[in-house]
Formats: sequence, structure tokens, C-alpha cells
Amino acid sequence: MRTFIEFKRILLLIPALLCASFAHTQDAGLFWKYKSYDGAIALRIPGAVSVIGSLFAREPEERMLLRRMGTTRVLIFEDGSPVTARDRERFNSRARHRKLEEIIAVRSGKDRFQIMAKERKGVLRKLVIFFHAEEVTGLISVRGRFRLDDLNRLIRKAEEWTDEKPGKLPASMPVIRA
Amino acid sequence: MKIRLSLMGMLVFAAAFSLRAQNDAISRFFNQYAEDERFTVVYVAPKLFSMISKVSSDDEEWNQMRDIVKDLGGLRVLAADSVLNGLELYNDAISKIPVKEYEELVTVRDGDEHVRIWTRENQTDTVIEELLLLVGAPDEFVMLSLMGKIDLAKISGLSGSLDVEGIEHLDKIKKKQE
Repeated sequence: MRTFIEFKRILLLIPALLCASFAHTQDAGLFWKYKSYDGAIALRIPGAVSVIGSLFAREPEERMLLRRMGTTRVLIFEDGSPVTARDRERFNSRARHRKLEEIIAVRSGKDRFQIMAKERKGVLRKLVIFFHAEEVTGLISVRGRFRLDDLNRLIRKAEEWTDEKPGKLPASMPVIRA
Repeated sequence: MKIRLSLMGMLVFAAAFSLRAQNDAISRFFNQYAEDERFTVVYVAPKLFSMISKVSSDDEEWNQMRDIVKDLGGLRVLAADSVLNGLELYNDAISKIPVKEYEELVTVRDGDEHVRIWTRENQTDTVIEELLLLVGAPDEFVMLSLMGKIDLAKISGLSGSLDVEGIEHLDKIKKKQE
């Protein structure tokens, strides 16, 4: 009888754990709340697709970066947005709760642009880009295991490529615009 | 007795928090206008500067930028270019700056435009740990706060790398040094 009770507890624990892990993957609720709304462009690209896509990449640096990509979620509203100020506040507070650090925030009038990142031991685990303007609102979330070394290698490759074919890629220094 | 103790504890906490808030008058000024649509608000977190400093490149300009930002600890900008009370905001900001903690570096008055730059040094190793720029004109107001270990000889180079409203006034440091 006692064994049966313990077994029952374990059985109850499994769905609870599954629910918890599912809740963790929800990208602050915003994606799941609005992905089926009228006018929403919602995409969820599993990490496996990036891995398959990496097979078609020509450069090993690109291949490496694609292989490090996990699930990508994109949510875009092009003609007006149902995302409210309360949603944004909730999104920000949940993001902070999940250790996502704001690395850039720009607000000009009603337009907003935010980049958040989660980094652990020098590895970028998650990158979330949120933008909100009068007509366009978007959320892009990329999970992965990006190392700065991979990015360095890609930049060096791009530089080599620019030297070989000048004018094909912007050679100027990246500029943060507000 | 227990109620009295917990009330006292709450009072101590409240006092500690209010002291902390009083000390950070500039942050409060930023927060006061953070959601005001007349202003453009920019925040760049220390993490982004640290990430930029780790990305290497053969590009000379990029390496110069890396050299400037490697010790920076964050940037906040509050700017408005079409306000009616720019000078009022400027005077209000000046009244809130704890002048004893800052040393005035540059003061420029050009017609109705006022520009002032202050620095705050670390008491122990005389390293500049904060640079505060304030611009006031009848229709313009800029407040820029840069934190971290700041090298005055290099910092004016940031105005060429970051396309952020008001940052061009950092060139005045270079002119002063010349």
C-alpha cells in the first residue's frame, strides 16, 4: 500500500515537472499570448532547423554559429499592435526575473527598442530583441550557446571577404544608433 | 513586543532606502523623465561595453573604440530637442546635482546655449569614475551620464562611434585639452 502511495506521488510529480519546464520555455508569455492574434506574424524555428541549415552554410564560421543556435521565436505585428503598456511592463519584469539583462534600451517618443541578453560563463545563452513603434511591434528571441570567439571568427571572416571583394559588405565600424 | 520590533525593523529599512534614494539624485532625475514622450532616453549597460571590448577585429577604428569602452560602466542619455522649457530643465537639473561630489571640467555659454561637463573622481586612486554632461538651450536639453573608468584623453572619440543625441558635445573635452 505504501509503495502504491509513493508511486502515485511520483506519477503526480511528472506532469508537474513537465508543466514547469514548459512554463520556463514560454518567452515571457508575450509570444504565446499574441501568436494567434489577427495580423500576427509568428514563427518558431526549432534549433534542429538551424542545425540542418548549417549544412548548407559555405563558411565554417557561419556553420559553427548556426549550430550554436537554439530555438528562435519571432513575433511581428505590422499594422498596429495589440501589445499594451501593461504587457510590456509584465514582459520586462518577467525578463528580469529570468536573469535576462537589459543591454540596450532606447525610447524616443512612443517608439521603443530593447535588447536583452542572458550570459553565463562567457557564453551568450539567450538574446531577446523587442521593438515597438506606432505601426510595427516585434519580438525576436534567440536561444543558443554563442561564444564571443565564434563571433570574432565570423567578423574576421567578413573582413577577409571585404578585402577580397571591396564594397560588397559595409567595411565601416558598427554604430549604435538612437 | 514582537510587533514593536518588526515595526522598528521596517522603519530602519525605510530610512536606509530613503538615504540611498537621496544620494542618487541624478538617477532620480533620469527616472523622472524616463517615460516622458518629449524626451529620448538611451541606456547602454556595462555588459554591452564589456562584450564590445572582447570582440577583436583588424579594423583600426574598431580597436580604438574597444580601447575607449573597455573600462566603461554604462551610459545614460536623456535628450529633448523640441521642448519649450529647455533652460528651465537645465536649471532644475543643476539644482539637483550634488556639486560637492563633482568637479567642473568644461563650461560653455554660446548665446542661449549652455554646456557644462562635470567629472567625479574616485577618492582612492583619482580615477574619473563618472562624467556628467548637461546642455540647456531654450528648445533643447541633454543630460548624459557616463560611468566607469574614464580616460579624458580618449573619451571624446566616443562621439564618432556612438550616434546618440547629445554625445557630440563630448568633443568639447578635446577642445579644452588642446
